[in-house]
Amino acid sequence: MKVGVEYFVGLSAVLFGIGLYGIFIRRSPMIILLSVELVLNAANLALIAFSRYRDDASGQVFALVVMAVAASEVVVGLGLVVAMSRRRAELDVDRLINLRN
Amino acid sequence: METLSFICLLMPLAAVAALALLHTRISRETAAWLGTGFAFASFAAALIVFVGLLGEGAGQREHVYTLYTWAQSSTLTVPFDILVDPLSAIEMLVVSGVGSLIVMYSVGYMHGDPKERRFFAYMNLFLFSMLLLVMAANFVLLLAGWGLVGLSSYLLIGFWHEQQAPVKAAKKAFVMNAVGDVGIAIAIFFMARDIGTTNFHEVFQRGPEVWSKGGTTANLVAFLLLVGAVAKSAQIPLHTWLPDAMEGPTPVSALIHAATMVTAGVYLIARAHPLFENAPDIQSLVALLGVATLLMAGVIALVQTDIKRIIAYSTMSQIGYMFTAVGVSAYSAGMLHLLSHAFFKALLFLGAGIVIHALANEQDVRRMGGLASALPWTTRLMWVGTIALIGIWPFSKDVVLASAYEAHSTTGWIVWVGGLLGAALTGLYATRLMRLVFYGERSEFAREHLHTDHGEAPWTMFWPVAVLGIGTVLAGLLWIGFGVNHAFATFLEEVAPNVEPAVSVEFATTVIAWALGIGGALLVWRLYERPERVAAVRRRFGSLTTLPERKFYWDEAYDLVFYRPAARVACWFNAVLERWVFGGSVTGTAWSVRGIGRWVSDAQTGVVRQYATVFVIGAVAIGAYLLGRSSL
Amino acid sequence: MTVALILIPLAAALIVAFLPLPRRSTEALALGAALAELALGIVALIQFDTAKGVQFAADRLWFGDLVSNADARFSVGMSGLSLFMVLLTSLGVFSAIATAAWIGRARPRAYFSLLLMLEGALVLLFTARDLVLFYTGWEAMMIPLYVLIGVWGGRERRRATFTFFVYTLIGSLLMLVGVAWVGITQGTFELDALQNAGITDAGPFFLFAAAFCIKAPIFPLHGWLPLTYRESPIEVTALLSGVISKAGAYGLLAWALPLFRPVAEDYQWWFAGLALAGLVYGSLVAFRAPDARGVIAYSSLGQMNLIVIGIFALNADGFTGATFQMVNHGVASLAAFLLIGLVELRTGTDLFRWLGGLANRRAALSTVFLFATMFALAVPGSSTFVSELYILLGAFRFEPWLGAAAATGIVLAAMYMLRWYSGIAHETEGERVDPTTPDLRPYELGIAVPLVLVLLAMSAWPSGVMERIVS
Repeated sequence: MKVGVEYFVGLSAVLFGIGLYGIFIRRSPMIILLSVELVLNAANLALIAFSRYRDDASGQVFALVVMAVAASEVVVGLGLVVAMSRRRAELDVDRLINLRN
Repeated sequence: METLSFICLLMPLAAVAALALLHTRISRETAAWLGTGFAFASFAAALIVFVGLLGEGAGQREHVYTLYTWAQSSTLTVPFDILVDPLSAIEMLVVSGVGSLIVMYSVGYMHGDPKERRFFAYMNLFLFSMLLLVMAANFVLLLAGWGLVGLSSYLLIGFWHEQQAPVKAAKKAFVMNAVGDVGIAIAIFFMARDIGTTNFHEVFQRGPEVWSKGGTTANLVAFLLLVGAVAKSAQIPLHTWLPDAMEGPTPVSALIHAATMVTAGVYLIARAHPLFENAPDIQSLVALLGVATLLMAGVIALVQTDIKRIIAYSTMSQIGYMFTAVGVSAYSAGMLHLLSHAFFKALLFLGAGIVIHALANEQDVRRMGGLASALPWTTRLMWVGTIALIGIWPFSKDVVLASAYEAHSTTGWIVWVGGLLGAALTGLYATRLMRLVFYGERSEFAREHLHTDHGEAPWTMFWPVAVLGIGTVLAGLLWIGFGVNHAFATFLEEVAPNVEPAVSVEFATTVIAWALGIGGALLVWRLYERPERVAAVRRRFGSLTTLPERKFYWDEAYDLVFYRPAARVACWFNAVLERWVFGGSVTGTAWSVRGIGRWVSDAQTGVVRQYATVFVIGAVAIGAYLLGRSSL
Repeated sequence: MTVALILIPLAAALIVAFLPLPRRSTEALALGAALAELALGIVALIQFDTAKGVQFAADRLWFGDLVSNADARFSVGMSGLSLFMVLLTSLGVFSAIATAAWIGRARPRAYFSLLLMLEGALVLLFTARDLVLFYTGWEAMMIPLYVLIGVWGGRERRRATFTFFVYTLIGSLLMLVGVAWVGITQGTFELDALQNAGITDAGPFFLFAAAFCIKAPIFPLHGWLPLTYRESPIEVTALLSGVISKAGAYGLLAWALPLFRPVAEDYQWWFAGLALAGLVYGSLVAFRAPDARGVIAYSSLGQMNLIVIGIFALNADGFTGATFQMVNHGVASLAAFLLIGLVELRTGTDLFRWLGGLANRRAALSTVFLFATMFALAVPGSSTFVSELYILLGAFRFEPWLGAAAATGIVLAAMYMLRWYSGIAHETEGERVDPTTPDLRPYELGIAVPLVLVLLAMSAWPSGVMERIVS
């Protein structure tokens, strides 16, 4: 039985929502990064689903691009987190405001 | 003749170049004699040119020689032209002749001065400039000479620039002369615009055609030229620089401020007489300014105590006479007075220089007296000059006054009366000078500091004075039978026509003038014979002397009206306008930019969650917009 | 020929910047390059034929279809005006490099290569016949200036650079809009074509005029002048006053007026009147400025305004006078500032309070200063006098009162220049001057005397220059 596209999109939306919740509510940078990953993957899921259902390859291509971006962003983010923890900085996003103004 | 004219003009310039290039490589004395040599060479050339002119027939004596085109635009060309005619030839002789004598005198006077070489370079620069002025064939070149003469004057007045007074005097002279320069410049603009050229020939011919007689433009042009003349010749109201100019060395005073530069104004008016005749009101103004100046200067001379200043004010007064002459169209009389005045005034100044030199640089007449026995020849020569100055036979300026009377106009009458009064004044102050310096009891100062061990003066100083004395007498001979024989007048006739007063009027005027002059002289003589008479006079008239002693407050007036306001405004501009308004506009811009930046940067809170929120809201908004559009 | 004149300084700049030579060699190399440029300029002068209009031209496609249909071409050539401006530039940069070598600047390779870059940009500006190329030169000129003033300047150099930059940038941006407008509406950027296009729109004229008037500068857009002139290294100030300010006047003469003549005629009174105010204002401020640099800076302001009066007289005398005055004042101003530099070298200051008596027993110094004073003051007989006379005549023909009023500037100039000279040279020696302060050394004479000689030559033969300037 073919699974309808709406199920995939629905799952994607749910994942997206969870990820968004994580970004807004959680304070630890690690968890926020995790949430961002969730959001990105949710988007990927939607892309691939549509690509499959419309027989258009560009969705999958775009998904690959998103994966590449996600990977680089994680590298940078984790690097920052590691650097912060090395300096014994509090891993609390509300306190990390050095970039003010 | 063309080559010789250019040689006359360029010799002094060559002297400047030579002295500048050789400077310390030659001794001071060599430099002095080098400067003198070039000056005499120039005179020799001028003499030959003059003789050449005499040889030519009347009506053929106007020569214009072009060297090259000096400046040009598509609408005005200024050629480097010189004009050799009777008027300029006379001036050439006076300038180079009297000039060389004075330069020679300076060899003795400036001996030992550390900047001696420079002095002779400057003197020659002056000679070149003055020659350029009188030989120019167009107004622009004349203005160039005019300005360069002003420059030389500045350099020479401020020669001893280590001191404050000469520097101030030099600046004052230059700035006042600059006012005159502006006048001539604007007159040039009129000529360029209405006639298309500034060449004398065209301007004098077409000027009266283009500018109607007595009309506004004609008056303006003449008036502007008059401004220049007044500034250069130190007449009222631009006269205040001349007494201060006495800060310069005595030869400078003799050459520039007696014999030549200050007479440039007279030359200008005589040369440009067609333009002045075209503006009769202005010409009357010339005469009136002359009268005013000759009277005021005469009175001031009467109360001066510095020997050079007495002679300076005398110069101012005598030029006033020349102005009255050209103001009543008695051009030949004016020029002859210019000629003889050059001789006797230079004589008086150089003679005064000998006195100053012998008294260790003292210039105050109250510290002199009784010097006739120590300086007999100087005294005699000074008398020659004084007699010439007072106008006793054969010297007479009465032709001028007589011609004025003949005009039967108000101006003419004022000139006549004023001129005669002036004769009295001249008698008074000239005799006072002689009496105070050479006669009576020798002052204590003089007894201590007089040194005539090497004779009255070095020969380099003495002989020029002697030659000037001879020149004065010869010039006097030219005056003889001026009304009847007029060789001089005829020579000048082609350039500047003369006015012929009736013999009876002339005779009467002469008699009155002599009476007044000699009367004044005798009065002073008798007065100073008894010191108590002098004291009595001083008591009675004491209060009256303040006004002339303060030079009628002209300096103070100019300071108040022009100098102080200008300086105030300038200071205000500097302190307020520039600092706050214009400088501030920049800091203002900087502040505002920074302020805006600060305000904008407040949006950067640094809180990630806030960024995220904004981001999401924005994304949703855009998404909604796009969806809305596409569904429509 | 023109291309060579542009490329020599630029190439030299690169070589000087990257070749790791010791100080003396760098200075010699830079000086040599400047001398070569000057020599080439003189060759161009000799070969210049007045009858032929624009000469030594070169033309190549640069950016095709830059804006709508307009091509930007690399088109250069020299008119009489350009020729003299190029000569002025090469003489100025040569003197500046010589002075800098004498004074000794930190990081010489950078300094001299920047000066040479400046020269290249200026020559490009003065010879460009394509509007985009002209604009490139205009902007390119700013970069080395910014660095030169900002790094090697005096105590307030940051503020000075900022001020200078903001003012000029505003003008440049306005001009950029104007350039774009021209390209879009006229379809070409070439000077020859644009001259005959008969443009009558006023807006673009003001855009261009704004940039040029800020650069010149014209009162009241001169706020950047005093600070920048006072804080720059002296030879840069000399170049600013002597050459770069002329770029503004050049822009008016070569670009703004030919393109927008009808507009200029409509607003003639505005510009001439404003310039007259600037002349009087600048002269008065100069009269009471407390420092030697300030006097010449404000004098510069006054003179540039006089040149603009000549330009906006819109007649032959005015143009001839203004152009000649650009050359004259350029050289005179160079001489004056470089002399101030030599004074600053000896005494460490240019404030009149601490100076005085420098002429005592220092013959060379007093004579050279005297020449500079007399030429700056336009004593009748000098070349500056001739150009000033023609400007005033032009102004007079346009409107007699304007000419007469501007003529009073002569008296004011006498007042402030004599004060300048006396303040430095006369009376007793000031606090920072003592009897051991030396007279001009031979090298220093070598910097100053050529400038004086050029001025003397132009005074003796003004028509040599004037006949080559055909408006």
